Amino acid sequence: MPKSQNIEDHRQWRLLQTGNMSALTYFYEKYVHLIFNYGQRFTREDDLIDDAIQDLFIRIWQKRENLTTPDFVEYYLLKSFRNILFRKLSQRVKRAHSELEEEHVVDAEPSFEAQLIVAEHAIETGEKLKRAWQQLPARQKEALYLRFYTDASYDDIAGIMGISVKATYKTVFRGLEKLREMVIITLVLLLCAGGILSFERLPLSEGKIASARCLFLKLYKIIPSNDGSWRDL
Amino acid sequence: MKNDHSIGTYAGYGLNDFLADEDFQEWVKKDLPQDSEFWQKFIQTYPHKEKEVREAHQLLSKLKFVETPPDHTRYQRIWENIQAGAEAAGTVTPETVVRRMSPVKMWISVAASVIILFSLGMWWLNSRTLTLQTGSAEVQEFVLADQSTVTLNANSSLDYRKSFNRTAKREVWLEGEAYFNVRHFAEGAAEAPRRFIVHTRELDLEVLGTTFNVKTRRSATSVMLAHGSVLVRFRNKSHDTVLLKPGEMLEFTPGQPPVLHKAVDSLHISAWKQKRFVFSNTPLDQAIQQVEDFYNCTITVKDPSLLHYRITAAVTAPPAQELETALSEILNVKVSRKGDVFEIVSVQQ
Repeated sequence: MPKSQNIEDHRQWRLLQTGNMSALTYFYEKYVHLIFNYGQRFTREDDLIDDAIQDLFIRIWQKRENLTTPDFVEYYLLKSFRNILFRKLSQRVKRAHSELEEEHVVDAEPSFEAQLIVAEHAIETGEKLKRAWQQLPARQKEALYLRFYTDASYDDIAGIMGISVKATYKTVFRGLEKLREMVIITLVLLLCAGGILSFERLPLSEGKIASARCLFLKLYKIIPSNDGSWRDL
Repeated sequence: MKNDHSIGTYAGYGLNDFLADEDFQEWVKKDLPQDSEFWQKFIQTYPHKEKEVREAHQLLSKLKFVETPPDHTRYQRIWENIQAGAEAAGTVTPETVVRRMSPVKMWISVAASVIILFSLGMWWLNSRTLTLQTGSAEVQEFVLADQSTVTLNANSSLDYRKSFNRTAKREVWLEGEAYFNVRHFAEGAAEAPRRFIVHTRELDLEVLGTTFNVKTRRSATSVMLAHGSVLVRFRNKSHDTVLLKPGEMLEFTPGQPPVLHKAVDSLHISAWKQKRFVFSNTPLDQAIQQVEDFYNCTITVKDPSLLHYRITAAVTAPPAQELETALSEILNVKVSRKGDVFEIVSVQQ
C-alpha cells in the first residue's frame, strides 16, 4: 500500500535494538492505547489485557537484539499482542473446562466485539448498520476493524491475523457486501413501512424485494396482515 | 500511485469491488485532494458508475468505531510492571566507581551522617510494629493504610510498621499464608508509585500494583502471581532474582533449587479465601499439611502406606468445633482421636 513507513518509528526501533530503554518507552506511550483498545475487542477482562501488554513489552525488551525491523511497528505490536492474548485466553478456557470435566471442543478463536458509532444525522441507517454489523462473523468484524480503525493495509491485516492477503481481501469484501445488502434491504423496508416507497429510485429486482421482505419479517418478527398488503408491494 | 491510466482499471468495477478496494477506502477515510480529483475524473469518464461510487462512499464513511478513552492510570501501572520486568531481565548493571573524597566532601558527609543518625532516631520512634492476625479456621480480609487489601489465611500473621504508608517503600512481614491485592498508588495522591515489599523468612517479594498469593508454612515458601508482576529475591542470595509472570508460581525450600510452575490455576490456589479446600490428585500428606495449617492440629497416619493415596475433592471447611468430623469430611478418611492428635485409621473408598 502507498502508505509511507514511519521514519521516527524506525529510528526508535534501531535505538531499542541497541538497548535504549527510552525507545521502549516511546513505543509504549505511542501504541499502548491502540493495543489496549484492540484487546478489548476480544475480552472484557481488562486484567488479562494488562498482563498480555506487559508480556509483550518485556518480551520485546528481552529479545531486542534478535528482532528484525518491521515495516510498521504498530502492526508488528498488534500481531504479537494478539498471539499472546489468544494464548492466555485459550489457557483460561481450557482450565475452566478441565475443572468442569467437560469434553467440549474449545473455540480456537475468541469472539470479536466492536461497536460502530451511529452518525447522529442518520440514526435510521446508523442503527441498521449497527444491527447488520453485529451479525457479521468474528473474522470479518476483526478485519474491518483493523482496516478502518487501525488503518492497517490488507498486507498488514494478513500479517496480524495470520492469513493470506487474498483471504484478507475476501474477508473484507464479504463483510462489506453483507453490510451493504442488509443496510439497503432494511432501509427499503423502512421506507415500505412508512408508505413512501418510490420504485424508480431503488435499484432492486423483484427477487430482492421478496428476499428483503423475508429478512425484514425475520428481523422484526412481524407477521404480514391478512389483507396481503405486503404481497402487493 | 494512481494516475490517469489507472482510471481504466476501475471501469469494470461493481459496487462491492469499490467497497473492498484499498485505494477507494483510503479516499473515503482520508479525503486527500489528489484522491478526490482522481475519483471525480473517474466519474466524468464513466458517468454511469457515479451512483455506485456514491453509494460505496456513503457506506464506508459510516464505518466508524466506538472508542474507549485512554485510561492513563492503568497504562502507567502496566508500564511500571514492564520496567520492573525489563530491569529484572538482566540488562545493564551500573559499574561501581570508587573515588577519593575531597576534604570538603568529607565534612559534608560527616554532617550527612549526623542528619542520618537523627533521622534514624525518628525512624525508630515511627517503627513500632503492628500485627494483623488470624486464629484457627479463620480467614479474614484487611485493608491497609494505602488501601491495599490482604486476606489472611488461618493461623497467619502480618507485621508492619506504624509508618507503613509514609515511607518510601511499603513493607510487611508475613508468617503463614496471605492473598495480596496491592494498590499501585497511595489513596488520592498523585505521587510516584512506591514499592511494596513482602518479607518472608526466605524470600523478599517486591511489587507495584499486583495481585498474588504468598504461602510460608513449615520450611517451604511459595508465591503465586495472579496479575501484574512480582520480583522474587532470595534472602540468602543463593539464587538469582526471579521475575514472576501472571499465572506462574515459584516454590522454594531452603537447600533445594527453586521450582517454577509455568501455568498454575490461580483460582484453585486461592480457594482458601472462600474457606474451601480444593484437591486435585493431591497426595494425602500434602492435603494433611493444608488441613493441619488451617485448623492448627496434628494429624498422623496409622499405616504409612496410606500417604500414597491421592485426593480429588472440593470441600468447604467445616467449623473447628467438630474437628474429628471436619477432618474425615475434608479428607474422606476415618479418624480417631488420641489426646491432641488425630490419627487417620483408613481411607474411605
